[in-house]
Amino acid sequence: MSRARNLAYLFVASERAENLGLVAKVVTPLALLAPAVAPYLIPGAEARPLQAVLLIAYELLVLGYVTGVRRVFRMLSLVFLFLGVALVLTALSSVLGTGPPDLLYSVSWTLRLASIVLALSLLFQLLTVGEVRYLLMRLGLGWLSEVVSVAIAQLPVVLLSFSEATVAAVLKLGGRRVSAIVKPLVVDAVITSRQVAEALYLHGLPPAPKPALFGGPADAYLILGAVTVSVASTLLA
Amino acid sequence: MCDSTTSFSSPTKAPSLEVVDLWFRYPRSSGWVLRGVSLRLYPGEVALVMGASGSGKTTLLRAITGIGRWIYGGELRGKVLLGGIPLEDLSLDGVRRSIQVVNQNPYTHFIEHLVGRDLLSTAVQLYGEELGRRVFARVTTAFKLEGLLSRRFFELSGGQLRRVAVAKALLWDPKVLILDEPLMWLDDEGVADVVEAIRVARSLGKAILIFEHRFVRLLHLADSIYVLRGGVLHRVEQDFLKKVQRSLRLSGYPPSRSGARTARRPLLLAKDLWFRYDRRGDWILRSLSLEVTEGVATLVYGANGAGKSTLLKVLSGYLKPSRGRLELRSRAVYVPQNIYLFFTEESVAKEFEVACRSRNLGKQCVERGVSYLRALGVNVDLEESPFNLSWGQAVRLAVAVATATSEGPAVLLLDEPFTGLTYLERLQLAESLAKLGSTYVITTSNSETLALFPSARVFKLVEGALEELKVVPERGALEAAELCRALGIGVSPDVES
Repeated sequence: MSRARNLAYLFVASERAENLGLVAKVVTPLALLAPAVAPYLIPGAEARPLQAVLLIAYELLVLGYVTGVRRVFRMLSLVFLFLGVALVLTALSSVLGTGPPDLLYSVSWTLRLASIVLALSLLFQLLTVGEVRYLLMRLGLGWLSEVVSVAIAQLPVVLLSFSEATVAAVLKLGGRRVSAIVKPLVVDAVITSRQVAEALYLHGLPPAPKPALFGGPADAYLILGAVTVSVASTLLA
Repeated sequence: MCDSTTSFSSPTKAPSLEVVDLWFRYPRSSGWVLRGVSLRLYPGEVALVMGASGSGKTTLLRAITGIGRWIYGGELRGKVLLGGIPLEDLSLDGVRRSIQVVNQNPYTHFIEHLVGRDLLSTAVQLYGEELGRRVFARVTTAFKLEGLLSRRFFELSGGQLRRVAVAKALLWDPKVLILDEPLMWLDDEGVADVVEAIRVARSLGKAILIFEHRFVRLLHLADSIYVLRGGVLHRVEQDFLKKVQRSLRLSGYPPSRSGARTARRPLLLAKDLWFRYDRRGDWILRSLSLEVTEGVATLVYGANGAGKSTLLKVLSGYLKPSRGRLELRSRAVYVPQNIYLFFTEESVAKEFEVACRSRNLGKQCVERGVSYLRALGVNVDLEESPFNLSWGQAVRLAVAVATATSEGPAVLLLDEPFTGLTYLERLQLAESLAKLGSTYVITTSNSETLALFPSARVFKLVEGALEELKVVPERGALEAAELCRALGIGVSPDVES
């Protein structure tokens, strides 16, 4: 399976999440997202590494439950990638003479960013396209619900195109001009969106039926766990 | 060949689709793309419309469905009747229940990622919960989709994807089903899948209109055959086709595979290559060995999903093999299946300039590139956007760019370059590549194209390994190319024939 396809799976609803209710699917990732985002919004707020570690650990636990162990390893590699970038930047800043930032500071903000990405990925892996549309329609965002549905549906295909364009550009122009892929991808997106518009004209969007709000005991465990971790991580701040 | 547009004789039934003297042009365009097209299609009839890229096939589809007017804002003259009712008198829901289309990019037909969920939600949308589930069960059984329902649409092979898209279109129970290039991207097995899907749709009494330039496998299915040329639809009589095919056989087509291979130095050596994307994943390539020699064409034939694109990326050095040895003694350039993803600049001239600059090559490189482009028969304005070129022109431009920017020999890795080309354009491209004398590895999923390269080494990719084919299946590609020539399909005006 290609890397682009692996990446695509991070934004595709998992079959194992089908038995969960809508409330658990929404509350769990949002409860984990809130304490991770808060320090970015509150001036002067500090980010402690332990907070983010707690959030990431629970996110990986839920992802393991919903998607399986293999996906957890992929996610873990994403966390390490974030950390690697942070360490490289820290090292570079010393070389460039801008003064190295505090290592603990870099690590804690990086882990926090990773926990945000994981929480968002969890949201995508729990909610089906129909459920996203239902939620947005309930919020009175009918038009947006259609756009978002189509965008989520086409995301895996876009990622595959992204991978192809990257290979072609790197081999054609060398690794320094990977940014050149923007143009073909924009053109590809325009062509695809035109074809999507044609398909929508003929098929329309199926209605978003009301999903089950509660699935079973697993819902309660997930929500309880997420809220506990969220509160604990806030108290640690 | 007959120039009239007389209809399929079915006097007892009313036509499902009737097009009378249809003219169409896009906004801000002075020229009419369709010029007086007339067509009549009866229930259970299959009509095949052939035509070169840019002949107006997709525009005809858009005009018939109302997409041309309502989405593109084009001007339409003449009449389109669906089940006897003028198109403009039908509501949008009425149009959807009368006519359905499977377009060139079947990925765009899906909203839910899971195939089963997508089909079921459409059926429930149309018929309500209880009846919807029954219709869903009936359609999935008819199209043998049971094994695909729990898979995601982007995991399916091209053939499976189109089969599902046809089933989804038929959930609407339309009178007319239009298939726009249904065989695009498909391997031989995928073609069989689509042919079977068409048979099922016909058995359900649907009138089917197919736009396709890879027509050989569809000829026997079609009750009526048309050629669209310059916006005018010409009916082709079956007798005419038979006569041309007979005369081609008498004149010795297809020629036997011949061609001398001169031994030169190897540019690429792969020995016992193994590759997989992640440690726990399945092996894509298993103990694969290959030698690519300078000036010799190498064809890799394999089914959709066999790992052909991955193989090219490994051979290019972009993906590192998990095991084995890869020795690349020259530069490799990868040309993707979606050819437009290769281009990064706004004009043909800039494509050459930027590509040459990236290799620190000067003006001579640009001039060399332009001369290659002309030698390949592409005479477009250099200020033209590469994204506006036809598929065949775009492939040739990519070849010219790759060749010009290589000092010394290069290996061109072309991923399914024949997608979207008529048989004649395929033949012309094969001849152009041979004329350039480059070294290239071409992947293809349909055996029809193998005969176009008489001096190539042909391999089959099976379960991650390559086996060389000594006897190449001849699927009449050359005969089909000559048939195209006789019918006037696929002769691009800027290509030397």
